[in-house]
Amino acid sequence: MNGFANKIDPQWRVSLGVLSLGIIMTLIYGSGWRIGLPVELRNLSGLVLFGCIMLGAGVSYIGARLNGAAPLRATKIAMLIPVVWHLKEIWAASQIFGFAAGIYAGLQGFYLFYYCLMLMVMGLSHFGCELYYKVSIPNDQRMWRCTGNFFWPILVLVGIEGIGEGLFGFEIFFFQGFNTGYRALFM
Amino acid sequence: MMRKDIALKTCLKHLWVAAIVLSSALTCSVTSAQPEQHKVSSEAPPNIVFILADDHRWDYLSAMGHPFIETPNIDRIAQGGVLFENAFVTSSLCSPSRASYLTGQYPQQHGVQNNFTPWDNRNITYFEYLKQAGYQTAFIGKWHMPGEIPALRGLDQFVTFDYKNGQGAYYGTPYIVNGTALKVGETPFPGAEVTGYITDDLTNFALKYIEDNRDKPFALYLSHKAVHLPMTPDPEAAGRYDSQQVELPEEADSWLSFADGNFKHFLWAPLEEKVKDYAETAVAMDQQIGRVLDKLDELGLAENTLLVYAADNGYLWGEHRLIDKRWSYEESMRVPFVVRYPKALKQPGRRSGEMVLNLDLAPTILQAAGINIPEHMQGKSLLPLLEGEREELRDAWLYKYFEDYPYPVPEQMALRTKRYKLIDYARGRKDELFDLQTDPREQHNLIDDESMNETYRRLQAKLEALNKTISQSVASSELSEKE
Repeated sequence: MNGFANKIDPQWRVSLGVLSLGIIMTLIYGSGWRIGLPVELRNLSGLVLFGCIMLGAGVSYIGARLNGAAPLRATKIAMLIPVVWHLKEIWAASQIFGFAAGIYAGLQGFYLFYYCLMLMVMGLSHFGCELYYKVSIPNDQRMWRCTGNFFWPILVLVGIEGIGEGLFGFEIFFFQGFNTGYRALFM
Repeated sequence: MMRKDIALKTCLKHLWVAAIVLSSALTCSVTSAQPEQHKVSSEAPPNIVFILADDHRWDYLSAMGHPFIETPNIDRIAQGGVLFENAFVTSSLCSPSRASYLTGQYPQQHGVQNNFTPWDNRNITYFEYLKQAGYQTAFIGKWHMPGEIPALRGLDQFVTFDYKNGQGAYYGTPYIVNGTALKVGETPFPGAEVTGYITDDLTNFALKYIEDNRDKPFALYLSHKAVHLPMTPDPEAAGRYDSQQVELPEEADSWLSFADGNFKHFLWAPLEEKVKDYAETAVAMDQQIGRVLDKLDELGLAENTLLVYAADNGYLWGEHRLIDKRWSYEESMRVPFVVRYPKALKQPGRRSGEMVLNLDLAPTILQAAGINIPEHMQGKSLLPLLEGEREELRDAWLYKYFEDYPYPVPEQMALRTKRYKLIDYARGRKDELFDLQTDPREQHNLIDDESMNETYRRLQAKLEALNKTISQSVASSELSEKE
């Protein structure tokens, strides 16, 4: 087991660990009732799974940074959980709507906002890392750089959506805009 | 003075009867209608009140033995009428189902199939026939079909809303009256109060309409937003079930509203809490339904009023690990359906196990009004059942859910017989066959059971035949083979 773990790049270990935990929780949460697992345990697994999906990127980012990854590489590593979850959603949609419409389903506002939210979570993790370095490494010059980059995407997306809904009463990324695109492409 | 009033009323009554006989004759001459004429048609035309709820599933009634919900007023309708315990919609989604109630047709005919297919105003609603027969007509409430709100033929009053894509809101919905948009708080009926809570407002409008038309035969379609998401009860009902223990199905759990594609339905709370909201919203609606019943009693109209309470579809609360409607499972396709018609009803308080459909509303109303049922209507009148003249209505019927992108539900058809259900998925899921007699919760798929091969083939053949029949351009009624 140790030998297997040692073969994994330390910067990826937390990310892959969260992914593994998420898969196990998915099995318990989704299918546990079939083997009679109590609802309390299934509820707990659901909470942990939700935590993996929503906080996994932030935890993975910290794991990568603390193992020496630069911010950009840590960001790439931390994107593992969001990308896998998103691909699972696209796969599920493709089963129902076919490949092309399934991929388009993956562009729904929910997912765009999810990615932005994950970047924001990574931004908070980045902030924590920088704070840690500032405290633990005297005279470190890397402080606070690029923290804002994690927050721009959600501000832009919320801004565009706000303008659409506020000025024109039109949901750009959600139901109306998304469906307009669907009609144009597939109907 | 009083004698003069009575004489005037008698005279008016005779005039109405004459007008209906004349217009019925005219209608027969321009439409190819069935010759079937009902005996109540020769009497004073009944008033018609149809109350439609949104997403109210069949067993969330105290009359159906629900463990905690209290619906004394819907129960009151059942006590004076017939409770149809096996009532269904042929497509479990708001718009197609609503169009079926209005037209008496399957979605394959009226064309409203999902959120993309607009209402075609060439469709003929039952209001048109009633109007020709001299009725005063009103539609009050949620229209919610794709496309612009139409100028619906046969309607005198069309009070609705397009707020929030036609969904409306529990508080602060501005209304539209015969195409004219009102401001928030403006009333469509002078004298009818706008409280702000939509269920109360729509009821206030309905009561005013009934009062104003008490001396004429009228047809009122009261279409509630309740109990649809976000399931907001009024302050009186809010919190009523806070301490209630909610039992979810064994396959469900508290976080199901976040799982898989379910988060797209915006429930976003523990399932037990949303069940309580749902029940409280239904209680708030039930109280308002009570006001309608009281008004009919107060004005002495109840005896000659055909009153129907139903819903546009059911709702899954964790069964099969699903929430929302759309699916062919019982919780989704099965609706409350209660009819009260003292004038024609035998044995009030009766329960019927016959399979009735949303398509049956329009023919029932027309027959009660003494109007011949047009051939294009695919439903069947329930009057013979109400009168106890006929015990069997149908032995099988077809359900179809049309793809409604991007909701993660596969397109599907189902054949529902009294005993079996065959679900035929277009893709993405294995077909299912259930024996509802031994497995009412539809937990054991028998599709691979070799002993069911013959049954499967028979049901599949019937499903295909039924689908072909009802999809024909001018569809005839359902197949007559016995299951």
